[in-house]
Amino acid sequence: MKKILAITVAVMIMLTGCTPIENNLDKRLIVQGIGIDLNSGNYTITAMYMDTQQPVGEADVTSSYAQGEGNSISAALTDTAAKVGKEPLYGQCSFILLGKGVTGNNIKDSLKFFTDYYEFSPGLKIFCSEEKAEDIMKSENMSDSLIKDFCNSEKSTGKSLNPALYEVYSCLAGNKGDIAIARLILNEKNTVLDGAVAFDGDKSAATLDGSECTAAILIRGKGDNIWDNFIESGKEINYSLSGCNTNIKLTDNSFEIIIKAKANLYATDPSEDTRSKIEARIESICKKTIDRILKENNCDIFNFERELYVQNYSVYRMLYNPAEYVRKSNFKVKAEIDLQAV
Amino acid sequence: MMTRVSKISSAQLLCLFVLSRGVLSVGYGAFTHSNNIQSTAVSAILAAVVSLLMSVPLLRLGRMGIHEIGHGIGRAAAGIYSVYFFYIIILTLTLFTVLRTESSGLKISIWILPIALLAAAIYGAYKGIEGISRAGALILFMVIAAITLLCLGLISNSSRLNLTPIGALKISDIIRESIIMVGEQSCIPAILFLYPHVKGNVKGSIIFWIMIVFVTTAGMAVFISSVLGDYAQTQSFPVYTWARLSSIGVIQRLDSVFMAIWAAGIFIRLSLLLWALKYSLRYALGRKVGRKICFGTVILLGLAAVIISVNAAYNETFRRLILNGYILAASTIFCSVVLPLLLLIRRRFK
Amino acid sequence: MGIFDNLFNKRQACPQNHGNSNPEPLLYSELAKNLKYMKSSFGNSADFTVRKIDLKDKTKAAIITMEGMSNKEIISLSITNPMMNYCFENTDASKIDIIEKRVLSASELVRVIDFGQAFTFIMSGFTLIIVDGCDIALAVGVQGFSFRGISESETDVVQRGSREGFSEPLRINMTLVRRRMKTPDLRFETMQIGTKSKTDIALCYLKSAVSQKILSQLKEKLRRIPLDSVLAAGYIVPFLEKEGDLSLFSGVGVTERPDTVCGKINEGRIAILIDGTPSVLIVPYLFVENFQTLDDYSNKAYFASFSRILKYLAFFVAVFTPGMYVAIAGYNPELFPGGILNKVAASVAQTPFSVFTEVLLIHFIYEIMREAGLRLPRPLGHAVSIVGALVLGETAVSSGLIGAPTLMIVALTAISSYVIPDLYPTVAVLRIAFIFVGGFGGLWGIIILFAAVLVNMCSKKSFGVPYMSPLTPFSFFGLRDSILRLGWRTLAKRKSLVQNHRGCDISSQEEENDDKGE
Repeated sequence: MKKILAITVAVMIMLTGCTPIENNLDKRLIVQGIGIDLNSGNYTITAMYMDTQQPVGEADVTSSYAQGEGNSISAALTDTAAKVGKEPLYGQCSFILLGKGVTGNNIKDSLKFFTDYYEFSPGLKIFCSEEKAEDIMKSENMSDSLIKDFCNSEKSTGKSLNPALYEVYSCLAGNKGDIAIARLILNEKNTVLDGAVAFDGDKSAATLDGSECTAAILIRGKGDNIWDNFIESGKEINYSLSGCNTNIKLTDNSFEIIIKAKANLYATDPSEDTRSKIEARIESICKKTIDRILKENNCDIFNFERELYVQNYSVYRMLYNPAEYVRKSNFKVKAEIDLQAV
Repeated sequence: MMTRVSKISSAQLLCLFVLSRGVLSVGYGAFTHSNNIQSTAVSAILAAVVSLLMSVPLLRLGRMGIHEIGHGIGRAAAGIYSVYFFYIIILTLTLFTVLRTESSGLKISIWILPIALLAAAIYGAYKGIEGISRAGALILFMVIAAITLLCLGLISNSSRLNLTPIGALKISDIIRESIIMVGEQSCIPAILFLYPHVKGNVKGSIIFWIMIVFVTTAGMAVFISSVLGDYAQTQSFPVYTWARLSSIGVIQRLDSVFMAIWAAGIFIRLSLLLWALKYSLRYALGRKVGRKICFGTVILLGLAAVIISVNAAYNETFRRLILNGYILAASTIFCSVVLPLLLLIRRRFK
Repeated sequence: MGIFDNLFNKRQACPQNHGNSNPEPLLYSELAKNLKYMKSSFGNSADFTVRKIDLKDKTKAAIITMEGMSNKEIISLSITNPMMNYCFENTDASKIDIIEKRVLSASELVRVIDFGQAFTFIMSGFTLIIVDGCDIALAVGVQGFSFRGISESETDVVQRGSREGFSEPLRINMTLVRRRMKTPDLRFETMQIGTKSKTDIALCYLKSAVSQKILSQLKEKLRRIPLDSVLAAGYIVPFLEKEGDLSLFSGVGVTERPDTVCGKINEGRIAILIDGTPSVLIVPYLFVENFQTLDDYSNKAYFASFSRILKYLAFFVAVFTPGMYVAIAGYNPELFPGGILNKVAASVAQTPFSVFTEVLLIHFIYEIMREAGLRLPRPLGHAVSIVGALVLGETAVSSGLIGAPTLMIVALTAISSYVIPDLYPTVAVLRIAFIFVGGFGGLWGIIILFAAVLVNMCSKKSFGVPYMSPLTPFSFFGLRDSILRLGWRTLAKRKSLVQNHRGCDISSQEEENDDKGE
């Protein structure tokens, strides 16, 4: 019995060398982000991956790039990994950039692979661009930390919209509303965040600037740290909004949107006049955004259709075209701001 | 010399059943069979009522004891229960293999983990019901802590706009999911063999168990819907997808931890099933058959279950057959209601 | 009367007769025959000493001792001198009676009737007096062997408690306990185990607190010990556990502190003091007791609770961290935050071994160094520290043989395992097991092994008390002194006895009768 135990232990120790080589982290392609371009039915993937060859102790994580092509996303990803010669690890992938050719086409097909494959987190962020994803990914300032800042921009500045993969796909699958995705552009060889792109179904329809993104966030009721400033009657008003709470009331063919938030003022006198100016500003940008994005471009990025579905299902189910009903409805925006001087 | 019979408290029985039933919700059941997860919340109410009624004949039979039924008939009944427990073991192992493969790929050989799990569960069954129930109580605590952490981490992701109005839920979905949820109550037949080992209020534990299971299922259904929305319908295992969204601080992917804790729950479930199988086989084969032969048979059946489940993971048709909710429901209803009723009626008129 | 009176009653044969088919014969009346038998039994043993004397009435007598075991000065003053100078009158009373009652002034005197008892007493440091014409001898308690003085225990260290630890002699240890529990409720029951060593042991308990069933079970187990010699406490531990118990955890506790023993017996436990070793065994012993120290009761409740929670965390860190590190690095790297993943991947890239092999290698090197540090003479201890720091520290990492993150993990594990020294053997083995399963099965393997170990612990009982009590079967009342330590005002309200724990089932039968699972 003891001999058997001793032999078993010895064999197990000898087997320590037999753990699969691909389990070694340095033999894995640790993908941090993926850029997708589509050209004549051919996908080009630009993968940003972690450079594990840097000396231990270096503070910044450096990244390298690999490219691959294929007639589907999975084929292109396989080609990318094959060119580097390592098994890919997608668990650390934090973003997907939909580049030229994809945003104008069927983004649902492009994203389907990422929703099915277990390694990709449903919470990874989606970005889009009208330029080539390859150019954006290989820009001078592109890095993992930059992308992490972009991913948080909706919460930190309120000037962009950063949906996660599951939110985008949920919208596309549910067919009750549209999605807006953060937009990246190249500005003198550097990547910058520039508002968002609104989609009509799964095709891009309009771009939103920073204030329009703010309006969308406020209407959705998710504003936690929105920075804004404007000049009114020659006076500059600087403020940030937090604790946003939006209530949407449905009446006959109209939506009443009541936005409540706390405003922190910076270098501005807290007065009733300031409050009314801020309220007017919010009401104005919200109304303009609704008119341009929803009514002109038919993109319901504000969840009005879902609001109708949840609040008034009995009306919703009688409608032949709920999206059209929403588009033709009247919208009244009212802001109620609570001032707090800093 | 009196033989000492292992006894567990009714609270331990409750923990055991909650865990055994709860682990199914992750990868099986109404969550994976539904067109709209939210309808599961409504189905849960229906299934709770049916489950309460289902447990009555077995509680009555369990109080009498299977050996009171009669020698021949009792052994035949025990044989049927043995087959049922064997089927549930195959289902559980298949579920484990499929979900494990879906969540972590095939880096680890598809054979190693089911065999390791079976070996550990056989050890648990060997150690007896006391060990299983006490370990189950601790693992249930871990599972509750894990789910609470997940819920806290995902509460900010929930939105009422992701929910579906009750009027939009389909009656056919609700009924189908109720049937499947009733089928998942595979712990009910185990009451028959557990009854002599429980001290305290067994009836109260069973009622409490059914209430807890269906309330938490309904709550989970609503919460998962509020987070995932329509995305859930595109996923094979929505609960696992929901867990994949979780993060605490810098640790982004907690689903691996959640799945590992789920595996601990599967271990308890398997141990309980193997223990029940051992017990039912002893009755079926008769007291003259030695304990070692009986336990050896359980080990062989367990290995057979592993082989079947691993093959099911490869073969889609075979997998659908094993994981078919209607077959499970039919067998559970037969073993929980029909067979005990027949035995009770026979005894009454004997 | 002396301590051995309970055991060696005049008319009662010694209960220890394991494998001894030939009990020793009774003493002879003739002195010469007695001496001849004894000399033939001891052979030419250099320490067997016989001092023949003549009493005043010319009767011959002999004083027999073992060299170094008795106090020679006391023998001369209290035995030899008085005997030689006493005028024996012509009476019917036996000489032994007269010597016992009128001649000797020693406080401990036992009558001996057979050679077995005689040998035991001589080898326990007693002096034997044999008088020609008497078939009874007298054993006089004049022990004078050297022993280590009372000093602080090196294994059971506390900050705010007594500095007294148990010593080797049984009587000294009994005194240390008696001084702290000045109640007649405190009982000592002595036994002998070991057919050749005849090691004296004493069961120490409080009569009002102890469970009689546990006591009788314990005595039965001790009586059945088939060993020839018992030289350390660890010899008898396996016989107190259930036969065939493969658990890594022990249901028998060990301590070297008398204050700890007093605390334990106050909870209904039984302490087993063993002659020749300062280690005292405590039964029943539960899992949560590994995390309790005397300092917990000296410090404030909030700090004591904090320390306890820290110990539990340290235990989990010590057992699981290396295995989880291997599992996550190999199979679930997405659990690492980005910065850490980069460091780990970079270190793996720069070393020749996989994470699994590295962790195993460092652990084995660490265990070798730990073992070397234990056995090494003190002057060389510094050399081990220097070699360890150089070999395992800077040199190994800078030469690229071992990665820094791996070294950090192993160092953290090592430090954590010393927070609960009682569980070190268990932690060391479990750690290696989890590294293996983590390397081959990932997180799934770890959780499956954890579940199996948990079932093993949960099904274990220590004299009928569930080993995991009060965690499971859960007892809210029991939690007041397990994971947390509530204040003394709360603890003093209601006493907690070990046999009253939930799920306790001390049957009158042996645990082997338990029909497993049925």
